[in-house]
Amino acid sequence: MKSTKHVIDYTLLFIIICFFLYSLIAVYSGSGQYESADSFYFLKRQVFWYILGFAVLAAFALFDYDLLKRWSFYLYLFSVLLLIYVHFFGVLKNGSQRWINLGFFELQPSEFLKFSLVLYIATILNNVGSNRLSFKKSIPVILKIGMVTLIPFVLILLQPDLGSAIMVAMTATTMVFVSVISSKMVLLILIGVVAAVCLIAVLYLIAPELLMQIFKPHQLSRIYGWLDPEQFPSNSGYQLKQARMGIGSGQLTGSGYNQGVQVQSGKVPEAHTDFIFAVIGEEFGFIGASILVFLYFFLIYRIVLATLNAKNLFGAYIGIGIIALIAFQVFQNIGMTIGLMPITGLALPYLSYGGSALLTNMAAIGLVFSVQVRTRKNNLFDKGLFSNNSN
Amino acid sequence: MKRVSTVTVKKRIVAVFLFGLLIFSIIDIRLGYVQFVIGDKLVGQANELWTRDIVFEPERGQILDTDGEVLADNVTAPSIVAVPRQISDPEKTAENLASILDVSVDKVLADITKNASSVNLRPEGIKISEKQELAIRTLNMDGIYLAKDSKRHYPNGEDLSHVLGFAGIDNQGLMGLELYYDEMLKGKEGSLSFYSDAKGRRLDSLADVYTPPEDGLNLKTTINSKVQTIIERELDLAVSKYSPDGALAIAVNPKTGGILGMSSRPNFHPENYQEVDSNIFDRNLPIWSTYEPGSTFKIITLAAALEEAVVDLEKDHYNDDGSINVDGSELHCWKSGGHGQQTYLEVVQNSCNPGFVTLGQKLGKEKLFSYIDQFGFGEKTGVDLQGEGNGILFAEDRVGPVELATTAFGQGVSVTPIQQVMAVAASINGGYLYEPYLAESWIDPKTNDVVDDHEPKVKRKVISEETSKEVRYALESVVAQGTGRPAYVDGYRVGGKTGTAQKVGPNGRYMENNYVVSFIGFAPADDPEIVVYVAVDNPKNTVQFGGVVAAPIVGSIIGDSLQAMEVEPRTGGIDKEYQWPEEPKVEVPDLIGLTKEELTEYMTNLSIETSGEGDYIIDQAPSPGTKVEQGSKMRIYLNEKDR
Repeated sequence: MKSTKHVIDYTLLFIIICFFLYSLIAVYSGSGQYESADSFYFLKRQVFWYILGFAVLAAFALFDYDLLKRWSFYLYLFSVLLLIYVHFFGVLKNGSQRWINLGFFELQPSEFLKFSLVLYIATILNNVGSNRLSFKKSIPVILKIGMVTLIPFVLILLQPDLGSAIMVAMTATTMVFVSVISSKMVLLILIGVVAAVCLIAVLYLIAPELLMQIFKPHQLSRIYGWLDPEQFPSNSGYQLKQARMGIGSGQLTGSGYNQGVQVQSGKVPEAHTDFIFAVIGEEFGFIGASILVFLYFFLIYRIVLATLNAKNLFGAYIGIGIIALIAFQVFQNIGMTIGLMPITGLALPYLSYGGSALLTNMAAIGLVFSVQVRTRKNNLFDKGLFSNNSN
Repeated sequence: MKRVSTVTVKKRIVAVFLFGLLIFSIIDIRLGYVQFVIGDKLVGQANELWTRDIVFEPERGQILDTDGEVLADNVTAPSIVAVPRQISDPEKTAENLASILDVSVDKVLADITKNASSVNLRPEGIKISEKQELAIRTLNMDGIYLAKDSKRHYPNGEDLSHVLGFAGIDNQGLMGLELYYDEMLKGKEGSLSFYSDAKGRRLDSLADVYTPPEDGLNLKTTINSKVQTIIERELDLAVSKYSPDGALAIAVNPKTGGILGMSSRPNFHPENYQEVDSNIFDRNLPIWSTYEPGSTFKIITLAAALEEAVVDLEKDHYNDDGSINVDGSELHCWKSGGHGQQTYLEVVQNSCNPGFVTLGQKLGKEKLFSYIDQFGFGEKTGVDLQGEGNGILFAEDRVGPVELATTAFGQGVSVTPIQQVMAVAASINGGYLYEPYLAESWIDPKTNDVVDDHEPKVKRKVISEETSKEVRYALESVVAQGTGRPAYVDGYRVGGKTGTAQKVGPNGRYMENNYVVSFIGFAPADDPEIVVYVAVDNPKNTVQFGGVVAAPIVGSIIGDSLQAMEVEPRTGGIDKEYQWPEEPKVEVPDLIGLTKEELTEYMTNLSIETSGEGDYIIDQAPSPGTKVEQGSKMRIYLNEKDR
């Protein structure tokens, strides 16, 4: 294997730049309805966040991710403390308390938690070693990771932010899934997840009043609205219906930039943040939206490649955690816009307007770069960690 | 580092990747489904939401009389449109609007702060007055606009109100012709569909679509405004003179069934319908009310008897001794003591009840009732107005000799005025029963072309030309020589028949001293151009007798209408019993001992005034046998008991 001089993955960078452009276009179009004084208000801020984001990306790329092994616990602890802080002193918006007001912008601690949790679980899994664990030996590891996940999970659920909470749980599950944990344990966890989903479904059918006690009414109404947008058109079903009408009217080529009737009329809620995919779908049609979906898939593919070539398990675990974070958000966000998933407040990574999420996601890509750069620079094994090369 | 474990991790990563591939495929498939499969439906839904931005109201069609005079028109009256987003100071704006429109501030504030692109202020802000318009223009508030709109205007006020009906706040027909022909009068809404975003930036990809409104068609009616005005005048006079419970008049062209005029009292102003008791505008008496027709119904019996040739008016005689025994029941003539020996023509002239009973008996049950059916009683006439009554007839299997006898002189059946008019029209127009109608033609408002024309519709031929001629002659003689003399119009050969019908009270029994007095007349008798029916419900301060109250009204209506319609005066009719201008003096009849009820059909050329209360006439002045000028006053004294 030749030693590569290209220490930077230009393909990955290209994908991110594509997202950057997509984001600027969509945020401008989608935010038109909110700021009548300055139609570039959100655009300018998004550009600023991207510049900051690229800086963060570069910083993480240059940083040796191995050092994070030592810091990951403190990062995790700090994030959890922020979550506790926000629980008591956070800014209340749209019925949930997720933000810390820093004056110039509102910080969303759950975003940083996702990031630090990935690092901390990667550290825990890395410390387990690279030998396949027996079922018995898997138990304490699983318990530890379970605890580490449960604390922020509950805190986020209390905000309430069901979407982020499920995302945290899914990310942890995915990381455990790829680790050296015993297959039996993996199977058990998968059964547990499936069972939990089934239990909720059965509860919904048999005893909906019990669900009422667990979930807030607005969360349930979102699920109802998703299941039957015609019947619950006044609240969440209404948002979904409007977004879907917009996407539906986009058809193959879309109605043209800034020409989406549903989006521009203000009928689609949060068109520059949560429902930004409706902007793409309506104004750029199936072609524009499919290219975007492909870009996400391509991004995942590039990270998977980076993961497979990682120089150690720590890097691989970080990579897989980031994949889980991004893939779950993308699936959840686009899924809710086109009626596959219930509505949750998850932003579309790299596209939606918003500082916290963008910085976290850029940092995540920075880490992927860091994993790649070190793989290629150090080149300790003639090929990557998982080379098929025998002997 | 054990390779086994790394292979495990690698396999699992690939599994995750494949799972991701699956998820992304699902997303794209679903995306394609939303955008292509259900896309068209969604586009439709989305467009529907945005294509009705500006509505252009069509002009409602005018309603015209037969000569093109406008009976229902439109006048501009703007409506307020508020654009909530543009209102800078909602509180102040609401206060201003509330004081101009005289509504509560809270209501206006709630309206103008709605989350909508534009809002109407219903109902006070729709079709506002000139004063309000001026006030709003003067204040010139942000986000408050005046949209062009029009409201219905009825130039003749209360005239013809029941027939025209009225249109509501959205120019929708609610009553009368406005309702019956709403579909054709209202036209079609137009719209300008333009797409813009919240900032008002135009969306160029979607072209503006302008659909022009289609104005409603103008309705030309059979109404003759001059005839209508005469009817209204005469009813107003009757109301002021007799203060009746109600009054109605219909004029019909017997050659087509076209309605020349129609009115009733009480009436209303169509522009103020909201302030009127709904019982008043709901009830178009000429087509809605049903009551016993009384003697006017005898025309049907007469026509049937003549058609069936069961009687010769000149040669056959009948001796009326004041009552007739039918199956054990005594049926009295309205004139106590009876009319004595008469020809059947005199029976008609005298409106002699027992005489008509014999006509009914000669016809028999089947034939009489068959003619009643043929003349259109018991079913709706089909006039183009809503709310028509059916009338009530005896069920034929329950008709015994007594029912046959009373039906023959107009008791025990219940009919609507329009049924009566159409049946009488059929009996004097050569035998053709027409369907009455108001809509003569539909006219395109832009080109003035006739779009649709109404052809008179003959339902059936009931009697022969010959019979019809005989009926005309007989009825002309009623006016010239019989009970209908006050309807006589010099030179117009009026024919007609009086009617006085008792009303059935809430308890199902006849009410005392409460009659519907009526007269149905037509002219000229040689070639009738008009049939007029007038009924006055419970007139006060008079003898309740059709000949006294209703006949002169019909006479005036026919005389003035035929002149207005430029119908040539005739000669050669049956002369009135006296020679103009030397009016013969009349002998004062002996009324003492009669009941007030017996007076009801008592023909007299004297105007009778009453004193006292009660049913029995105990005295009179002047005394019987005195010769007095026609039309002089005669006073009768009433008491509860006979002397």
